[in-house]
Amino acid sequence: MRQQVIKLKVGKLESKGVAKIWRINKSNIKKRLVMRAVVEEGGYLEMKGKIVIGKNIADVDVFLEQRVLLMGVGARAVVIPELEIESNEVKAGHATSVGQIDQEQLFYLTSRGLTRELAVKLLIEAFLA
Amino acid sequence: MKNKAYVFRAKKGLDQGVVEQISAKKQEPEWMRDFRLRAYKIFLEKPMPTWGADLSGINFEEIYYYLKPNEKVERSWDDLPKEIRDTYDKIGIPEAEKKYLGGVKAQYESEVVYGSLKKSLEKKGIIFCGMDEALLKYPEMVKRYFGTIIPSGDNKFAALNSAVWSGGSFIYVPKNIKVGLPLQAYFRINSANMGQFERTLIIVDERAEVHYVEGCSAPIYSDDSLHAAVVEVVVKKGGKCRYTTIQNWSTNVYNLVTKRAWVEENGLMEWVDGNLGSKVTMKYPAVVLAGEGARGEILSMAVAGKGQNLDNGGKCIHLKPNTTSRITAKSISMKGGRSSYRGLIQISPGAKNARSKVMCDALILDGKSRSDTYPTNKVLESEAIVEHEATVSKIGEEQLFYLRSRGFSPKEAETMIVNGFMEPIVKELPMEYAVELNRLIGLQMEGSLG
Repeated sequence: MRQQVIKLKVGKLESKGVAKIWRINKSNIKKRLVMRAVVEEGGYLEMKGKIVIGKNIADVDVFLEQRVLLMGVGARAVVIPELEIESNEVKAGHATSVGQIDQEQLFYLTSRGLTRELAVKLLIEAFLA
Repeated sequence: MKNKAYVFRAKKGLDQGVVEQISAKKQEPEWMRDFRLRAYKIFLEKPMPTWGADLSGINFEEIYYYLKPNEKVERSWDDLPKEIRDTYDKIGIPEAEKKYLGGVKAQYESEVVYGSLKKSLEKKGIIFCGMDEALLKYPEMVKRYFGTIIPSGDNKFAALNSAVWSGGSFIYVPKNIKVGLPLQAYFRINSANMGQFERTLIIVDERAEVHYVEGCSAPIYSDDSLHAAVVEVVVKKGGKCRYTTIQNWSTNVYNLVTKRAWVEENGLMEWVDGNLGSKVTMKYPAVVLAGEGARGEILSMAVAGKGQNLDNGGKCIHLKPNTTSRITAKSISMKGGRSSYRGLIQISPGAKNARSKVMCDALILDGKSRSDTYPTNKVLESEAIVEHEATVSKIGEEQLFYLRSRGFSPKEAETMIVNGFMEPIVKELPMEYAVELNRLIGLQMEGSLG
């Protein structure tokens, strides 16, 4: 499946927004849209993603994925995934998650001798890769 | 709609005089009269919501704001006027009562006219009565909580309800008391052009438990009706409350309801919200998790058919650490109906280790119908986890093919798949409701297949 990725980094005390309205105007589309962001200490992110499928559209399978990592004290995010669907021969969905770095992954890397700072840096790099 | 023997009916439309008249007729204390008048002013000032469903069809001047079918609250079935008894027979209240109801509070138009309380409830100190009765009998308790969870200024329709409310239930469950049977109430709009503005307040004291069930059904009318209810729930430390609604208003009713629960430390609030009827519904049961370890769960269900716009969902506001919430929403759109999920998850600053998960699934049965998802996730605390997932699709061809290959007709197969889709929510309903609901969905789906 084709995939489009939008990546964003919100630095310390920065405030950023990203919005994507995805209109499906024709049939026969299979595609995935991924939005990923990392928010550092005191940063603020607004992320909006919307899928609109009008009438008389068929054979569409689209999915929006939004993932946000909150990386420090005061990091905040408002995430709004939306769907407006007016055809029934289609499949549409979204998944959103806002959270922190996986503690198990961090533990694994530090157990291999990486410092915590380096491990975090690598995990963020991988997340945005 | 003839032979209506109303004891009192306010004039059509709303002004300060009508509000004062309602309060005087009910012989209310002065603070409630002032509360109503303040709310009326707020109602006038608040604009109509500019989002959500189309509400332009509501004409506030064409509504009766107060009807009182009988002077006193009845207790025994035989004492009820025949006209009212017949109405209830048709919706099956006596049979329901024979079963396992904890007590029946039936609302006929604006007032509770029939109620039977099991003695065991009273012995345990549980209060279950009409809101009007509670205001006279337990004024202190009502005054302490009334309008504190949903202030009149919350939204235009909460203000309207606060100004003209009538009927609804009041429940108080004392500390450590668990109500084993669900408490039930039936609401019914029975007169064309009649607004119903019931007001419910439930207080669950520390470590107490209660399950409240509200079912609505109404016949079809030619004129539009408005139902604007307010439901406030307080769950104290370690308490549990489940509030189940089956809404099946006739398809000319605007159903605009504000429901909110305040949950303290380690308390649990569950909203089970089924929406089948009404022309327009805008209802988002909310849980405010105000104590550490408090939990909230919302199960939302909507079946939108021809001409219906069901805009519902849920809200969870996390104020304290270690709070958890979960929303599960299922909707079906068919025959040109529109159903929307609209939700809010808010993790407030300081609500460390808060967790929330939202799952929305929608089925669209034909090309004329529409399904929307509008969730907002506000994560204002960096040590919290919020997840949201949604899918919109039609009935799976493979599932249909399989069932047809086993000899089911297309209609049977489709009904079976839809009932299976709804199962996670339907199974949480009291048994008689679950049976009724499966039948209702089946009925609605008739003719939906080409």
